[in-house]
Amino acid sequence: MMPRILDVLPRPVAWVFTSGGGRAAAQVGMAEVLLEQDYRPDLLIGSSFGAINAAALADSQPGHTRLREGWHNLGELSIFSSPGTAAVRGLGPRGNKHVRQFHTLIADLLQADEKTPIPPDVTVVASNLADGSPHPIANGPLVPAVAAACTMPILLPPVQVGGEYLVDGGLSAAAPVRQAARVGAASIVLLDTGTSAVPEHEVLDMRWWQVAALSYNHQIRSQIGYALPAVAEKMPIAVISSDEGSILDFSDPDEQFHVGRRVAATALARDLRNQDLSQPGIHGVLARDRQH
Amino acid sequence: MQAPRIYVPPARSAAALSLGAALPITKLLPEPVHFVLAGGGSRGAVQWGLLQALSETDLRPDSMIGTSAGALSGVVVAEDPGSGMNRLAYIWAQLDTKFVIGDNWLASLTNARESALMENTAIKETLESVVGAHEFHELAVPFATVATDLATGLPHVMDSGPLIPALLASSAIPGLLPPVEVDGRLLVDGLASANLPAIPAVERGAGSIVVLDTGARSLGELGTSSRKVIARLAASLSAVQRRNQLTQAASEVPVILLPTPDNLGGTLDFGATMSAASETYSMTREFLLDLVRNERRKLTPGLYVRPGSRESDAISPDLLRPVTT
Repeated sequence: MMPRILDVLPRPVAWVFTSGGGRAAAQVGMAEVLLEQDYRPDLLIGSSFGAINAAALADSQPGHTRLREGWHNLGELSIFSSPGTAAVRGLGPRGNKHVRQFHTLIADLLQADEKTPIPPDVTVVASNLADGSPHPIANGPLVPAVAAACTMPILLPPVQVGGEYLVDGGLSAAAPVRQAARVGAASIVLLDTGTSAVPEHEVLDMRWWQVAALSYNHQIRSQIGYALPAVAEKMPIAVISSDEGSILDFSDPDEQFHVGRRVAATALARDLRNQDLSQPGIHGVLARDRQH
Repeated sequence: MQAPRIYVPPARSAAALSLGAALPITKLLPEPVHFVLAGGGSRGAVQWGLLQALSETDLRPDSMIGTSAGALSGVVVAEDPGSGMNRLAYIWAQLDTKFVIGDNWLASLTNARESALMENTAIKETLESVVGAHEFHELAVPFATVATDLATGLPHVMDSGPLIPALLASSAIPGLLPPVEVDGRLLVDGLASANLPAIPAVERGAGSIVVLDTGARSLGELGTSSRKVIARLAASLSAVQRRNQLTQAASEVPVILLPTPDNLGGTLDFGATMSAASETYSMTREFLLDLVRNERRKLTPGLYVRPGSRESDAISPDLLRPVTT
């Protein structure tokens, strides 16, 4: 019997799901481990592909049993199975077919139709293309909100919601902890797949476009470094974090579920033990820091 | 492939350049005063206007830190605090795309299997022609420059050893110019981690910060086509990062954000640079006069800005200190 170390987190407890593209599938494994140990969130906040997991795990959603299957279906969409081709195609006007497929798939995964409202305990975070600010959505239809939150730029065109052009939430709030604080969280469990660090040896013989893509990714993820300490001054943040796999690799969700389960089990058994989780601060280890 | 040579005027004494009584600002700022110079490619020219306005005050930096184009402006003044502003005006007036990628860009193209599309020969020659010092410790004012560690994505601050590799690393536009190895790390342009390095300045012990920004790029039309989205995203990402740097620094020390024009061109658009610089000079001169009129005591932590600037909506109101006219 594992000691119930997360029970001391002040309520309401928010589970915060970060960005991470294909790597965000690991959050499913992390959440499963928490649910199996009878931990329950009071609030769910997700940015980018973490928004899918946040929405599916809401109390009022039947989605969480379908999450594994949903991630497999995502990986089979052509935009995610060959993102290079999709990016080139995205420059032309033919993106709409993919948008429809993507929306259908999210609706299917969440067992929602176009009118199903966002559950009261869920906030999904997109980015406002006009000024680059985070755009949290807690009201209105669920499917377009989740789709907007995971609108990876270039692969998918911006989504128009309420007169705003919205894109991927990871661009402005890769780890939406500020948004969790704003909707009333008193503590946070961070299910993090958002680091952009890669092993030293990988950068040595990169091609020019890989250098450009990785740097762009760094620029996006650098925000986590600002948001986390600021919120951790006010409340405890328990970190479960993985950086295995690649953001643009949606091909093997089973491997990611497995990684997520392993990382969560280790965090609960080791990194989060012997820390006073009732007190403000960053508890546990971010994958970015573990590597270096 | 070769960059044309830049004419750099000789150093002159500060006294020869001073214009009447200097504006008394030093007494307002807790020491040490750090100048923070943001990157922005060709828009770095506006920093000449900012530095010119600052040179008419009694303020002298105790330390300077710059990223990318801000590192170029910064190093010229750190080497020659007396007449560096004058030299910068000459340098920015002559700078052109060919100083970054050479006068025959086709010849500078690498094959596409390399870590960058261009070689950095041209920009290296340009840097060598404007910087006389070889090592950081030779500079008159302590100076640091910021690049991004390509593996970790974290800012990498350099303040000792050879200058040129550090400056090249700070300006290594990812994909276009090759990453540079310094301190055993592979580095790219500081824009990816700290384009406006205010937090690194606080970490280096700044008592107050004067920010020399590079102005805002005009954002262009909103739309769903990839081309419009890419332009917006680049601007948005740097705006978010900039806001974070300013917010975090301003919660710890007074941060003076000198005003810069909106609606400037892109980062390799050297066309209108000098007119932007002179507009910046007048804006900043007015702003500094207002600051001296309004403030009597040492400034407390917060972001001191011109009212109505683009920070007004984006930064938490309890940190904003509008400098009214």
